[in-house]
Amino acid sequence: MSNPRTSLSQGFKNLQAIQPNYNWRKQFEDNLKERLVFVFPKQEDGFNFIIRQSADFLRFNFALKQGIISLVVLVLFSSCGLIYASQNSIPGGHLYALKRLTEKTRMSLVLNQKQKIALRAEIISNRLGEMKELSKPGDAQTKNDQAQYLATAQSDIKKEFKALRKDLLAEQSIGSSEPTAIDEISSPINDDKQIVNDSTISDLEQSMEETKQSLRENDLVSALQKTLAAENKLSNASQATSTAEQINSSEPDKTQAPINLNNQKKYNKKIKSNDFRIDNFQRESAVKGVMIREK
Amino acid sequence: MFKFQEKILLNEIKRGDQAALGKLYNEYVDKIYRFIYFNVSSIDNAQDLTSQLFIRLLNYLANNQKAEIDNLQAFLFAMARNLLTDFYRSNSNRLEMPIDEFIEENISDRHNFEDMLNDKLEIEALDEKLKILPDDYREIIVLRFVNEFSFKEIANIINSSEGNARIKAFRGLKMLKNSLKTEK
Repeated sequence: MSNPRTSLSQGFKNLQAIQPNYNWRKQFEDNLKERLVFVFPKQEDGFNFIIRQSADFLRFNFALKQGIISLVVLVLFSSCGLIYASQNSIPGGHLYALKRLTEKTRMSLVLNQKQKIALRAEIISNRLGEMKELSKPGDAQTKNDQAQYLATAQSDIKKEFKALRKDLLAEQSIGSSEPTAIDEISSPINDDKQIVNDSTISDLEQSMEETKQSLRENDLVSALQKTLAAENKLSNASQATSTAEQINSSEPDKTQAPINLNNQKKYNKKIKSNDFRIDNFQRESAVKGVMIREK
Repeated sequence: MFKFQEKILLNEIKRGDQAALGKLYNEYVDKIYRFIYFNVSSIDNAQDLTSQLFIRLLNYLANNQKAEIDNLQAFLFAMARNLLTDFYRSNSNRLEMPIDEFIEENISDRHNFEDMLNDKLEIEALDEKLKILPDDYREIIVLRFVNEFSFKEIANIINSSEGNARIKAFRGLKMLKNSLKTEK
């Protein structure tokens, strides 16, 4: 006699074996899946849809993709090449504007004041190099143009010298009372048409190299002194050229001579007074610099 | 299957994923078929109602895209009960359960003839006894002891309390025991 409880649980276990017919089960599953396609057409969520569409676009536009990549590479390489080539151009050259633009961009991107000063010194060297290149004898056709470009370059150098001097002073935190005198230093020679000669340019280049060396050594006082000296040299050279030209031009036209000579006297006086001021300023700057370093 | 898995499956089905539908189908088709089988007269009816149930589920999902099914198992068995109610209404004369047909199909491949005979006899006997139970008791007995659902799950399916499901299962089981005793 079997226990009814045991036989019942065994009976239920046996009933668990009841399952749908395998073939029907499989066939209905396939039918159901087919029905699903009509009830819910295959969809994709937003992100997957975008990814797939992008992938399809790139796959079907392989040629376009290659073209775009080639174009980007070409533009990048040609831009780099142009910028590199423009670095040796001189005023009047096709790429000179690009060279100046590169300098301006570099200047605006540099935030560190010391680096800015070094960059300005480098720009002055560039201008001097351009002037040297321009002062080489050329054919008669370009002579006038050369003179014009030289004058422009000289004017630029003066502006850069002024800016460099201001930057150096600002960096040193000196010259609270001096800027007025300093501003006047560059003012006597406003006539940019007087072009300095080759030897002066070489001297100035030498001075700038020394200035850069001082900057590299972090000796701002020395850099400032050398900048002032170079600026002064440029002013004097410019003035001397101007005088010589005026004297030469006064001979054929005597009516103009007294005026020019009068101007010359005034300039000479101004230069003497400026020389005195520069000497005083240099002395004071040096003393202050020493004091700062001692502190 | 966890609830979050069910939700993921349903979302995938709504996106037209056939594999997700296959997974859900294979998870529930046996249990539902068994439940329906013990409540209808034949294998054909059980198959017919089971297929109707899955088609209804698809239609429900299509018509109620935003509706969330909280408990898929309870939802499917409640749907099966509704189908059975409709079936009883339309078939007032319930036919005999052709359990022999099932036994021939499912157990005849067993090697031991004696075992096969014993199983056949036991299934036949129990099936006979199940038939005499009231509908509500039988469905709970099938859910509890054949499909091995918890009383909580049964309560969810029959939309009743867990205690009520326990009482009905206990009474149904008692009736079955008594009928087996009287037979012996």
